[in-house]
Amino acid sequence: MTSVANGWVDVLVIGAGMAGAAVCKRLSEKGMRVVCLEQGPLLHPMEHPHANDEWELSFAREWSWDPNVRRLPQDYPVVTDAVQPYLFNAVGGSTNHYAGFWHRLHPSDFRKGTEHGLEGTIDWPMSYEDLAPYYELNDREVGVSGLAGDPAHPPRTERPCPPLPHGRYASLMAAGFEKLGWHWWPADNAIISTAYDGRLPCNNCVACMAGCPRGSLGEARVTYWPKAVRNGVDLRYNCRAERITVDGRGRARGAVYIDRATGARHEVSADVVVVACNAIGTPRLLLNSACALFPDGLANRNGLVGKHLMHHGYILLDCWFEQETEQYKGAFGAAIYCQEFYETDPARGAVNGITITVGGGYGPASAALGGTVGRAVAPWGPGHHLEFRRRFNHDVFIAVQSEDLPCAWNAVTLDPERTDTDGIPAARVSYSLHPNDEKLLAFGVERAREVAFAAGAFEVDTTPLGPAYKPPAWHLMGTCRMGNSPQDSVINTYHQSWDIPNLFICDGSAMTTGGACNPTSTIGALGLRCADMIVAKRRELP
Amino acid sequence: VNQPLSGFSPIASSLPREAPAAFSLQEMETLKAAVDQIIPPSGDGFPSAGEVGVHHFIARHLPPDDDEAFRAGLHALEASAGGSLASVVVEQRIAALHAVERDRPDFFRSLLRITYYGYYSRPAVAQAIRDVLGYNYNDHPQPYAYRLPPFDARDPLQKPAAPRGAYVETARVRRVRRDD
Repeated sequence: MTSVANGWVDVLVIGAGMAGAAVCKRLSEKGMRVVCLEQGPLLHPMEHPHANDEWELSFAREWSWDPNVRRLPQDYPVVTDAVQPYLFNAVGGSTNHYAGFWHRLHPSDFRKGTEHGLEGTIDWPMSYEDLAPYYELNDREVGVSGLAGDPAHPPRTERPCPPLPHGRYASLMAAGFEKLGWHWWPADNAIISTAYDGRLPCNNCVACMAGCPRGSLGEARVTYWPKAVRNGVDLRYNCRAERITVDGRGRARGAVYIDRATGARHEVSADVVVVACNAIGTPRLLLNSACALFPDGLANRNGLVGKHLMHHGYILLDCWFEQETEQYKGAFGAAIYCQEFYETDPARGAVNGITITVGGGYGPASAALGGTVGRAVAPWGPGHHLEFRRRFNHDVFIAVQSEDLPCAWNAVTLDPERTDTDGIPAARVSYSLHPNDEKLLAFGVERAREVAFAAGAFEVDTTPLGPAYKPPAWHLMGTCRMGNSPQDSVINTYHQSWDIPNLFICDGSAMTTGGACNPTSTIGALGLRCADMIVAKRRELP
Repeated sequence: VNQPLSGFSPIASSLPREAPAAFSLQEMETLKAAVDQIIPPSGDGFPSAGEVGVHHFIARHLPPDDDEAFRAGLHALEASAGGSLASVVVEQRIAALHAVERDRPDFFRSLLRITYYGYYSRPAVAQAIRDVLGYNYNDHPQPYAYRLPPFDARDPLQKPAAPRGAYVETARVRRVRRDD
């Protein structure tokens, strides 16, 4: 039996991650009555593994980025052989454990249809300049460390905090970039280097990828949520949305959700429904909400829901040096980054570009197990410790991200067999790189190897390219893209479904293109802007 | 229903199990002899895996679903050695491990991984990293963490002395020529 769990509210937001949190906080400060549903729990700081001896084992288990490894009751399976998806279900979503790399898209990223239009790539229906004020606002809400003055970006204001301390490994790599004469700059991170907004500053413990028990990492749980709840947002965690309901006029009415503590179903009703479940969870929910009026799922009359999935071409590199790198200290997030090759140069034989980031490391077990890539495993037997000494405290982690084209064949669908613990169909993901992107990624790997050797590395290992390539799908984007007409996209510039005017979609799935950099900063900025669009559009809703 | 609301399912956790895997005394002897060959003492201060109790770590941290497969792997080691691994000479222990590495690669890989995770999680090994290697590595990341000098914009390897880089402004985005 489904019971009605409350009176009518202004806005129902589904998903309490980066986008949902920003939407809720912004709407609530403008006086809207908001309910937010989140299928995961509200984590307690003591649930992080940072003070446990076996903290490194937790990366392979409950703090794995991959829900198929964790298999927690709040997770849903992502059925795929193609990628290793990165997503987390809890208040704060995937910001509960991430590097906090805080890049912005470039102005050209919003004009890729104009620039090349390859594989049906379209322009965003907004410009960098439209989003810039929301990037600024989001940086202040989240608390960002960084340095103004990067010539590879439009001018912008000082960050709330100065850059995080640069360890030895960052300076080693900076020397490599200098030698080659390439762009590099101290990275922006959603990690506070000084006390900010009542939060403790980072103390350089390196374990951001298992979250932050100090609250120094910009997890939405510690940035937006306390304020949103104080503003009156009704945050219901451990509440799993099963389907969005529609009324007889084809308008979204609310959602049916399952209280995971009791198994009871409730319905919550609202004037506006916002879906913010990430670029895998959002199409899954829209497709699972198919009904008589919308037999192919909601917002999907043109069949584009779930299509154009983007993850970035992604290659991880371990680089080993004779010198001590002190990579077991510091923030995991990028110390420095290089966007020498970010803008398109047709001479590369491929459009779009790459970012190279230099990040932190893990601990000794990871070093013995071959670092990030995991292939250079220290041997067992009498040679073990010698090899361990060559690896631990001598490694530098580099990531190459290349833009991936929004290809229609890269898609999220419902799995016909597997379900989550409440019987809701699992997501299925198909993904492969476009030939342009394979070329671009191979170019990127060569540049990263070049700078690692220029910096003095004695050995470099990378995730394999070619048929064995299985991207770390750390970024989920594009599956309900924003566009310029009901034919080319799922939502308009207001994040509003072309089919259902009171249904808004706001998370990585709204991104028209993905750029070549970590998207969380963009997703948060979109969330704040989306809230303003909802306020503006609500008066016009029929 | 009745799943832990906050927090993690104990099945997927890195935390110790409520009850260790129910290995027999001989199986535990074999396990200890195996981990001692996988990570023997370094000779200059790093202990062997058995000395720091990695066999007990494994019994406490093995995912319960893996107990039977793991036991079968231990029995394969014993079959190869012709008895408890602890009862044969070192050369035979090593030969048995090589045989199982070849014949049961999944078991061996899982044994190797949990041995490495266990070994480097032991406080005595963190102490060896400090004493033998001279690194100020902590047993675990928090609450001590690490002190680092603050960012220094005067250091040309922290902030570029001659910054370079460019971007294309919105109004200047033009069609590029493609050869596809």
